[in-house]
Amino acid sequence: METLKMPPVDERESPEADIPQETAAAYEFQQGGNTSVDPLVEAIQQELGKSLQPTAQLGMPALTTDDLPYEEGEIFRAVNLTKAYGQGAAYLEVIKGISFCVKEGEYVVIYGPSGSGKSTLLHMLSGLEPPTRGEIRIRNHAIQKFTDDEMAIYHREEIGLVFQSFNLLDSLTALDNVAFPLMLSGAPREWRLHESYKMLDRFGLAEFAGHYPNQLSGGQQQRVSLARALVHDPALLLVDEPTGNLDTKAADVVMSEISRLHLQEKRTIILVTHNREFLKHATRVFYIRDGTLMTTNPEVEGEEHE
Amino acid sequence: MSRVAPMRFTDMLPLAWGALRRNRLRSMLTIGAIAFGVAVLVYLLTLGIGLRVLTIDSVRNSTTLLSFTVTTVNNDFFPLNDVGLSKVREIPQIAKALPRLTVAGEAAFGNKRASITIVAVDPDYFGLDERSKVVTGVPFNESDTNVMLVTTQFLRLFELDTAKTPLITFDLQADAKRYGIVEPIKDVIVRGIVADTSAAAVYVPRQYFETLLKQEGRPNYEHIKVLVKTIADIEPASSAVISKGYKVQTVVDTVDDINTVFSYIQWTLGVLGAIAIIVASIGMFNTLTVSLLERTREIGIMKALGVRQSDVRRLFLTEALLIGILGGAVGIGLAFAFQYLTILTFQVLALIAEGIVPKLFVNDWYLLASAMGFSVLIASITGIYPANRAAKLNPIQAIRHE
Ligand SMILES: Nc1ncnc2c1ncn2[C@@H]1O[C@H](COP(=O)(O)OP(=O)(O)O)[C@@H](O)[C@H]1O
Ligand SMILES: [Mg+2]
Repeated sequence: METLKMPPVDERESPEADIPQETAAAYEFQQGGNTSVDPLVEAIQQELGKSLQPTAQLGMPALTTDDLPYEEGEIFRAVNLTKAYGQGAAYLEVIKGISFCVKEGEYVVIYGPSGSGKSTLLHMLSGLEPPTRGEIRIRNHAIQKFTDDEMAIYHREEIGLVFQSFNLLDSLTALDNVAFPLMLSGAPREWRLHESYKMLDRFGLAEFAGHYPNQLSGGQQQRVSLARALVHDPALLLVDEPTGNLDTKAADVVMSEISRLHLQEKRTIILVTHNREFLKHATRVFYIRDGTLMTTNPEVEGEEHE
Repeated sequence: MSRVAPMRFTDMLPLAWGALRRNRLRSMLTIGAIAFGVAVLVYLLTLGIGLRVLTIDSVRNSTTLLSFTVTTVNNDFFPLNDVGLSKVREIPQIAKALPRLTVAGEAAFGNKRASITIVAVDPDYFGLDERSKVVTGVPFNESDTNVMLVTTQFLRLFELDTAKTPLITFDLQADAKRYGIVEPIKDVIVRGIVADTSAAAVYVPRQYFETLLKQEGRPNYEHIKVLVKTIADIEPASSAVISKGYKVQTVVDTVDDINTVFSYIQWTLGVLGAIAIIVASIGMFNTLTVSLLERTREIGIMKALGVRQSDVRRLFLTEALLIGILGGAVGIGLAFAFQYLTILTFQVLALIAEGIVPKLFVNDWYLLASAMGFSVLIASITGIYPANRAAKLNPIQAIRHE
């Protein structure tokens, strides 16, 4: 078992001397304070048996893409990623200059309290939301520079997306929803319906193929959504709160299915959740709070999984 | 990365159709608005054309195109008598000049007597206009004497079947006080019935009838129908007639006049119809834009799944196209229904008035095709703005939009 790597002592002077207790605590955490004030961080560390560290502590403080050459097997690289909403008084930085790398075959769980910007981060990785500052590279291609066609290919072929709110197309049946990505790839109708039916069957939804989304329960819609994300066999799966609307039993099914996709099918998975059960399946945990990121050390993780 | 093939039309169509079906009420209202515009346009235009054709036909049928009618404005200086007739006949382009002589008189059968009009014409005169058409039977010959054709009103006067040529003979007598005829024409055989509905009249052979009239007190011709050989002769022949002091009414003139009048009417009707369509398309623009706002989430999802901007735009345009086609088709159907109702109304009225209903509408296929095309065009133009807006929608804003 890996020994706990305690975060190094913060040697900078504390500027938060006279701010209220709560804020101070959060701030301290954000700065990677030596004692984890956030009970959640402690819980995660216990769960994983690993320490969480701010990315700044992982040797990527003011990283630019030029500083660190592209490595084989690197899928995502985010550099000083910032996302802000609103202007003037309504200005809100949801993601505050985070940097990280995701390698092929990883199962990254993005964990954090509600409203911490998890979905925002996932949307940026999926190319649907442009970052305010910073850069995202996918296999060494800057996502901001994608053309309409390149973005379409990225969505059609590279990634499978599962949204927090299922986001099925209301005017299509479950089967046609699942078949939609195959339609975009220009597959013949017969074949794509056949494939989609198989996919639905895999999620135990064969008998609901002809149902419209509004005739399905939340859990069923969730599974249709997963089937749709997988039907075109993407190497990368981006999943937002897959068990958010499921009971424990259904959640377990989805959880083990996603683990199987990672372990057996060797897909790279980035999953957003606030369900702690997922943590044990992850190869790495991104803990997001107040727009900053703490993560388990990838090198350590790499060795551990050998 | 390679170029991405556009979404297939065969895939796009069911998507657009599904979107229309999902919001059935809104789609029906949109299609209904366009359909109503198209229906009004088609109804008005076919009515315009129908009325024109009807008018021209009745003029055309009244005389052949190779004839014109000579009348006079001044019977003292330019009388339409045998002198006038020979003047007209002198004109080289004129092949035939066929006068019509009308006198008042009496007809008798057994001890039944009635006042009638005696019309004396040449055999060639029959069929030159609507009222002198022979409905049943045959015209007489030039040398015939005791024969005649009668009108339905004449038959009614003698309480006879108006559909059959009666097998009885009549005695005819021109008004002796005015025309001084000594002898009545005895035992006149009925040869047939003419279309003339204006009076209780008999048509008799002119040459024989004129021999019975005394020179003094003899009336002038009502008019002379002139026949020429070719259309090109109409112009010189009518000029020559005019130069002799007479008045000319040609069919070509009449048709031209009618065409001018009706092209104004048709333009007016067309503009009214176009206004109806524009009002309808404003409604359609509104519903398409509202529909876009309702479907931002759907568009966002599609984009997230890899549907390109250009495909989103095409999808919306396909939808607009469908609305246009359906609106056009329903509109044309609706126009037919309006036409049918109009004809039905007239039929009821005609039944009361014992008349016949003429063909009021002309449904030219090219007019219907253009109405369809117009509907599709309007729908597409209307769809451009919402389509572009949909294409540019930020997918995440759209997805978060609940
Ligand atoms: N379009 C937007 N405009 C303004 N604020 C937004 C927008 N989208 C998200 N936010 C805000 O960003 C924060 C993070 O949201 P989100 O990424 O959905 O959090 P999580 O998924 O972790 O619950 C929230 O405070 C949310 O209100
Ligand atoms: Mg979320």
